[in-house]
Amino acid sequence: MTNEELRLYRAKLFRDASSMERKPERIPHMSFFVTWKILDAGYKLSEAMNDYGIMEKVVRRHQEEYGFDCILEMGARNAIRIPMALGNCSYYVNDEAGTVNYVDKSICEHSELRELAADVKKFFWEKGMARKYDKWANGTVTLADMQKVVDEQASFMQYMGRISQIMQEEYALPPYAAPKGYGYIGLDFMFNTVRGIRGLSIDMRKDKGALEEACAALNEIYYKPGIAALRAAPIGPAVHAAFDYDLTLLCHTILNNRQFAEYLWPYMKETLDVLAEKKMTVRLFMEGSCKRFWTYFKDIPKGVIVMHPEQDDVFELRKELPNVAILGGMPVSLLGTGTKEQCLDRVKWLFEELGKEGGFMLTQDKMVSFRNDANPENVKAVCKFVREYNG
Amino acid sequence: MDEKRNDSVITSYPEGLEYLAEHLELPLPPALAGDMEARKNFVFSLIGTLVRQ
Repeated sequence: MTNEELRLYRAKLFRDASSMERKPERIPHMSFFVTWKILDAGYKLSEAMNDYGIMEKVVRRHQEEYGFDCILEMGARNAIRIPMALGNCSYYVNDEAGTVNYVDKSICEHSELRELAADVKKFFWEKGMARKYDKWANGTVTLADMQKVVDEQASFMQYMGRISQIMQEEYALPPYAAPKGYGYIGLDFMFNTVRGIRGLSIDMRKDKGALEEACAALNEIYYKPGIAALRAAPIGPAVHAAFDYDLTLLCHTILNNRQFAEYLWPYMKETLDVLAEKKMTVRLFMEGSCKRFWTYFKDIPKGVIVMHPEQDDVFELRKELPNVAILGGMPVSLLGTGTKEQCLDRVKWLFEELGKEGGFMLTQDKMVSFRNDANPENVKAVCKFVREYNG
Repeated sequence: MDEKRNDSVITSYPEGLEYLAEHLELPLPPALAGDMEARKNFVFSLIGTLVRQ
């Protein structure tokens, strides 16, 4: 097989499994390794995060060492060089512990929600930026500082283009997704950036009207244009990529069923309907547990959702949602503390129970981040087993 | 001195957006390099990225 043939073969493994119409020739294996691969390559986190040359070596080595069918994260996470061009950022990198922590910082007070809703751009510019960056707050930011930010953003984009091309051409890996537009749902934006966990929990109980106005204003800028672009895209999947779209959500972790139905589901449903109409597939990663919302997905046609559960049981998921393909199944806890035999037994069980009829792709249940999240020997053994499995 | 006075508008909206859109060297395709709306969209998108980081 040429590299191009191998890349398309690997993409087809994912496409066949996602479609739930055909059993793939073998079960595909996705890497969900994030900062772990930096430590595994012998670098400090800060070294790789600040040097795209090192990050490229890390990603290359990850594939050379283990041999996945697709790599979800190629060094784009924690792009600290862009905010650091302004002097500070919300990430704390601890090289000794091998950890990256993100400060859950609200950039908007509850009493300011209507001000945000009235003019998102003005609010982000004058208050959001000041609450994130010291230079913005004390008025010392210069044109030269902002040029550094632009240049860092350009360097990051160049790195992403380069690593994507390298992994496709030299390593025959399909791109993980090929979105034709992306709608960022307002409530998740509120949770991740604007109000934080505590703030959003207060907003939903204290003044729903103000929260709804703020979400609607964010949706105008960050959700609606993305969905319009997706709607305008030609019908048909991007068969060269593993999936067409990615929907990663976090805010549902603090929602009950009523709040989910009110704030999140209408936008998720709209997105899923457009994807269904376009015959496209989404990897849906709802962090934590989303079992209490599974009933909402019962009527989504086969071939649209590839659910990647973080905490929920994959066997129960298959039983409850037979219309949804599954990506996941390999607990990081097992890769980290289990024996090689235990890891392989788990994979065999997954393949026999979930992979026999198709609709299953293997990956790790969580972003593999910390040094002890995975024993390299276990990862190697699992990767080899998957490549050779012929069940 | 003039530059310092101009830089002081950066943190105000919409003055800062207009100032940055006009003066920054942006990696836009040549066809859009002179388009002020495209330049403003690029700069605001960058601010959105910074707020999310």
